[in-house]
Amino acid sequence: MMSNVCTPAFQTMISEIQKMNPDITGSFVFKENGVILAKDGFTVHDSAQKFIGSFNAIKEKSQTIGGLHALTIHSDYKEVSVTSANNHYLTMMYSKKADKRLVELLTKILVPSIVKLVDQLALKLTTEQEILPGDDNESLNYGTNEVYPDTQPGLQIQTNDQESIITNSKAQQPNIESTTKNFEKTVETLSLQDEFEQLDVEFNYKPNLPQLPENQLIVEKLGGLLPRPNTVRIDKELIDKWEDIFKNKKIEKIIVESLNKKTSCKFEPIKDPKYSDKGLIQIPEKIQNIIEVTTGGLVTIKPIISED
Amino acid sequence: MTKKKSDSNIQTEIQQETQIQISSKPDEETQSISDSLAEIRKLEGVIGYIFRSEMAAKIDLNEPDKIIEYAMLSTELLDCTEVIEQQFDVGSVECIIAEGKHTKVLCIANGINRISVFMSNTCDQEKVRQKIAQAKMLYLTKK
Repeated sequence: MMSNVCTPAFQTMISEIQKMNPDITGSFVFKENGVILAKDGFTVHDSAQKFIGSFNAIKEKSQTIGGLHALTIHSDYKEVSVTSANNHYLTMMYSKKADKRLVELLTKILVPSIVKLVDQLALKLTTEQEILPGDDNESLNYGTNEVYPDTQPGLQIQTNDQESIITNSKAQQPNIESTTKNFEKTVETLSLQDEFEQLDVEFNYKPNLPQLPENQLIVEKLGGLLPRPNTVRIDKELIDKWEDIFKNKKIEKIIVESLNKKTSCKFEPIKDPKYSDKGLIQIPEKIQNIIEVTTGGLVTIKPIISED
Repeated sequence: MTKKKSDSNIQTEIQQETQIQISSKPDEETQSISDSLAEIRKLEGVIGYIFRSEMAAKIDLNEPDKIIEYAMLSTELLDCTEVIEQQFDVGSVECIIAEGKHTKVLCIANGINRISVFMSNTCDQEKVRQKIAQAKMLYLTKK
């Protein structure tokens, strides 16, 4: 699951590197197991995969030099460098006229530091998720400088000139009645009712549903003899996590969103162990066409919650 | 096949059953690069080298017991150059450098010649590259 957490960060990192130095004509990040976590628009997935295969073959034979820490290839008009940090590898292709010092700074100092940092954060996040499922969805947005102590979860107090959203993740289970009572009690306690009436206050109650989790996954084609055309396959671990977060809620469909388009579809767990736990989503060709994405592309998914 | 062996220097000369005539006189080029590698070998931090051409192979390493490991790594690196040339629009690969924890290796595919120089990480690979390039230039000038 860590790869899912890291992917957006790496994608952003690659985009920023590209912006920083236009001489960089291709870059991608891959993990030790060969999974590409992020890549730029110049990199062809299949080519990258073949290169990773070759890189791994070198790595296997590199014990004699103390493992493979970096690989640099000089060619006629480009240079390719692979640097490693925490079992993540960044491959960058840049023209010969690229500022070598800048590239070196990026590949040997900045990027390994970012990778280590992202990895540590991901590890922390994953650990927290394991301890307190749903805590990652906590959002604290006090909007203004006003803080309402003891205010109950999931309340949105909207006034004419200000908005304060106060959530408390300790009570993740939506309970309309108790929340309304608690809210009234809180308002009484704070003696704010009169003031709110004067200010033409609108009380917009929203059930305390955890924020919908978004996951970025790498697209794999869903083949086979008779794949269901409107069903994608995702990690069972992810489905279990949703079920854990949205207890007593039905999740029958998900939203699959590419850079340009999105669609809703049914989902089921990945059956082939070859594709599981790798941050992949198996999408049938029909849906791939709808959202204009191909194998190796990135999509974001989130569950559609319906009442029981 | 004839084989000469010493403690720290193993020189293998392979004479193939079918002699292949190469118009660019590889023997002279091979000799030129071989001389250059002998010079490179004396540089501080250089652990050794593997030099393979169509007709001969020369290996000179500090740790002769690790020859197979070094040779396998060298082969994988040179194979990787082919993958890169085929998969990415980079032109022809001049050299490939793999850095390990304490050692790095510089591999050059120079026509039919395959050169791998092993050195400590502190060693300047550019100096080695230049010396090999000079050897090639010298050969071309003679020609």
